[in-house]
Amino acid sequence: MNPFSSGTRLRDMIRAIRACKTAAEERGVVRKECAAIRAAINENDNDYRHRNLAKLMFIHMLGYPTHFGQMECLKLIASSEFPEKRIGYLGLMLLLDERQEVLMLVTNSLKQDLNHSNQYIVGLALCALGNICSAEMARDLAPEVERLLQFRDPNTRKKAALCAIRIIRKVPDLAENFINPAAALLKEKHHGVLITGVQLCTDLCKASADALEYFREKCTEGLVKTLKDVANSPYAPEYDIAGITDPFLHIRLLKLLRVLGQGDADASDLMNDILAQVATKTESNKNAGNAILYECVETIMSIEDNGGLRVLAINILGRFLSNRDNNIRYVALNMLMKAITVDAQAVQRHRATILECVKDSDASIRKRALELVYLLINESNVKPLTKELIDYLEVSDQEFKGDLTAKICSIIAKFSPEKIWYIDQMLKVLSEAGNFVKDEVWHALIVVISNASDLHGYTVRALYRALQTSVEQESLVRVAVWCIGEYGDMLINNVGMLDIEDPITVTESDAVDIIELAIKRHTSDLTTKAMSLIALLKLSSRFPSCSERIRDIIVQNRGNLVLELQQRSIEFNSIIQKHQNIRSALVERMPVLDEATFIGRRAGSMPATVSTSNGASLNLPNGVAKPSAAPLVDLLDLSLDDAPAPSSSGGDFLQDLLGVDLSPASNQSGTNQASKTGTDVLLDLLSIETPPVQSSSSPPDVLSSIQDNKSPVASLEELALPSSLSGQATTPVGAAPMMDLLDGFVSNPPKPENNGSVYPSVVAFESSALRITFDFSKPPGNPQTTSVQATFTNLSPNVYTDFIFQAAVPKFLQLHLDPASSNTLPATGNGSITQNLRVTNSQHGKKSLVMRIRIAYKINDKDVLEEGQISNFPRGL
Amino acid sequence: MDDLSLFSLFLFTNNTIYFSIFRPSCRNKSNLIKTKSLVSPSPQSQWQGKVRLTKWYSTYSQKERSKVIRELTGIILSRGPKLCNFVEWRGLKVVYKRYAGLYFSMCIDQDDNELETLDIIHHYVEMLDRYFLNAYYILDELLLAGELQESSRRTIARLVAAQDSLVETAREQASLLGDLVK
Repeated sequence: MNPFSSGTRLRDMIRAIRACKTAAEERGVVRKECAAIRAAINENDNDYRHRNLAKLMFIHMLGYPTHFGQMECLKLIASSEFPEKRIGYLGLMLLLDERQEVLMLVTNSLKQDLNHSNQYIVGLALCALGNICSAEMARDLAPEVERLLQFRDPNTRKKAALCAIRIIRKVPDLAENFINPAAALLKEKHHGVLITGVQLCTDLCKASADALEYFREKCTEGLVKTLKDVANSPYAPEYDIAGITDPFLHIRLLKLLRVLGQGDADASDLMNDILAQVATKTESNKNAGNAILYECVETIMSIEDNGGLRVLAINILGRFLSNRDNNIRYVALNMLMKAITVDAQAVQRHRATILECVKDSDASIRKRALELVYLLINESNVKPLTKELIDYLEVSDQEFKGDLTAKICSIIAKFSPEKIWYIDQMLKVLSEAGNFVKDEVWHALIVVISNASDLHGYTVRALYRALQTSVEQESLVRVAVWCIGEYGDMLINNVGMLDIEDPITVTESDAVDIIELAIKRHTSDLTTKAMSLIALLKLSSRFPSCSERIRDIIVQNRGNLVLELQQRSIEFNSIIQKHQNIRSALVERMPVLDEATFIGRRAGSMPATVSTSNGASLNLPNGVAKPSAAPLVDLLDLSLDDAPAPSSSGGDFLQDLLGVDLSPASNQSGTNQASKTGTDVLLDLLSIETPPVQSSSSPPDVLSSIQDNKSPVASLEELALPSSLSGQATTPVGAAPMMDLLDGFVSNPPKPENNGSVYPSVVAFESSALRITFDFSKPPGNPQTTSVQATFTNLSPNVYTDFIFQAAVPKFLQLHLDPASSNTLPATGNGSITQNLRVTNSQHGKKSLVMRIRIAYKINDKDVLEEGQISNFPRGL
Repeated sequence: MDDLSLFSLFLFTNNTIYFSIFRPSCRNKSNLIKTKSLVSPSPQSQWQGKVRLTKWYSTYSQKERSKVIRELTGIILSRGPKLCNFVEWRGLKVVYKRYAGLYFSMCIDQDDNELETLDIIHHYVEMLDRYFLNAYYILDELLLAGELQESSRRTIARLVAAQDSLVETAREQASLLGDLVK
């Protein structure tokens, strides 16, 4: 024997590691030990293999890599002795998991051990199999386990039963093999076997409807009797826990009865009596008894209706809820969530207690209670409950505020009886916890405010007041800044005064002050500052007396390091200074924001979602005139920004631009102009955290982004002329492309065939002999689906016969190919074949289309095969 | 055979269950569980807060395991003494209980019975208390595939003892054989 390979004893190694003062020292010791173990492994040292594995397990638990020892486990398992096998299996369960391929090697040893004459070795193998078996092993070894379910030794039977659970969880198809042996286990007297048998049956019922039907018919009565026996059994020291005989068995029987009774009135009837007995007779002063009651209540709630039992169950929960033990209260709240679907009225009776639980010091209980309160709220109690919750918001823990705020906002949005209440409550939430409010919540608030025209004055004054006290709540500041920008005049003139309001006096310069404060506060983030700049621009027109001061504030940001702010500052300054004539029209009040659009966008059902991957991309619902002005604003901004030298023409250009896009839509020119700046806000409002479109600072950028993102083009197209921009958009854009693009708008005659298709066609594939073009259209109402018309053109002088087009797509896509119009393709473009494809993109908005294609055809009876990949699909399909 | 009890710790899981025992302080295991008084944590010991035993009944990679343990140790150790024994975590529930300086925890599904899980933990702790050797082997007789295997403490003790005596016999025979060879 090699004296060096024996190494230290396990005990000594542990002692050495524990004696280490620093992590580095510990690493050193572990490294030395690992080296010794590796050496021993290399020498195939049999004597100390088990000791080395024990050491490895310890090292593994400390978090060091031990994969080199995996084979040692297998060797120990393969040995014939029980001690070796025992530690080998232990190591197997600890060091390996089902994903490791090494595990496959152990299947054979397991099979042998499952047939071993020593029942303890069989037990070891079952235990390992039950804990780590993979689907493949499950298939291989299921017959052995099935056989062992009838083994003479009860301890083996119970292990086999649990092992079977793992097997059917891995491979549900195997369930039916176990139905009969499992039913036999239910008749056992041995508690261990009975418990595991009941568990196996429960799992079988979940895996297979046949099993459920079988057990329901054959075993319900027997199980009820077993439960009765256990519940009435005299004191049995071996199974006694807190005066109850085997609560574990109670609970598992109740669980199986629940599965059997669910949705079956007859089975439910059979178990009514015993459930009533358990619910009334079980001692509830110890944890074990409560665990049984808890399970019993759940079973009563789940099985078919029996009014009397349910009253009993709800009463138990009421008792639980007033219990002083936090664990009991927690499970009561948990169960009431389930009870609410059964008997909402009964749960409502406990509302006050539940509301108190929201204020508990225990985070787990608070969370449960809050979710329960959320379910309890309806139209009639929303006002007092919301008030309670908002009051609590003031004093709640910081880490709880996020959850609480989200729930309150959701309640307000869902149940608000009237707009003024909605606005009032939201303002309270924003003032208390504005920093926890999610973006879409305050976006929604702005939409609501914008729609409540009679409350504009009231809202802006309330916000002004709130801002005096809660200036550190970011989202409150944003909403306030937006409203002051829009409705600043109402703030000053006390327009639309409601009876409930106290009159306040705000001067024009006060209003500007507060926005200046927002823009200068160092904690304000980019969005707030950008919104403030727009508000200032708007105010400069509303308050002519402050115009100079506002310009000063705006100019201060001209050197801002953030490009976005710098750009806005320069542009707005230029609007104030040079374009007085259009300013007032430019900063008119925002048109009412369309609630339906907004809700649709939130629900993600609109075809257009804002793509965050590309800062300059903006998808908007086509055909909605207001938002589609946004890309135009960018052009406008850019032209101002970009034209320092020919600045005079910049203005003209601007006019041109406005003229161009407004002429076809003369009836709404006012709105369109007004939305010019409004759209910026809208952009912020809608594009959430993406840097708004303007952040791409140079024209080629924007144009290229338009190029690769067709939606803005589409919107422009909708707005300006129904001309096909496909040619424009796919041709590379040069250094001074602005005019080209605009020319494109004006000069392209409308093409009649472009009826509603907003995606340009692409040349999907082109070789020397063949060209394939794709035309896209989207069926209305289904954004995931795209219809593609493929057109094949023959570029060669030979006729193609037996033409076949095949396509393949990745898993997130579904492809449907219609038959082609013909299978013969005439030579030199003298005709074409068309074929329709329908692609459904399950990852719509996240992933673009991609397709692999293969074209087979014959030239003069000679086979030709062409292949390619198409990845130049327009985005957003 | 080397004495496995020295690295006393574990935990387990199935798709549902994950069970762990944390041992924030304490070096002398024998009076850990028996004495109900808290062992005062010795701050300089880097063994504090280390997980001693884990058992996993569902598949987690080594990396995920250490992440889970780190997260849960943080959550559980930071909870105050009077709070309830349940923590919601990643859509699962963690049931934990402190015995002297040892934390035992078990991760279960949403619809498992939390109160019963506390009893299972207690069941295990009582077994360890009576028979403080080879915590892993006891666990393997108590739970399998994440499900309870045996509700009788006496049976578990008997089974573990029987297997230990098998090991003992094998060892004696080996040493006898060794003597003969000499």
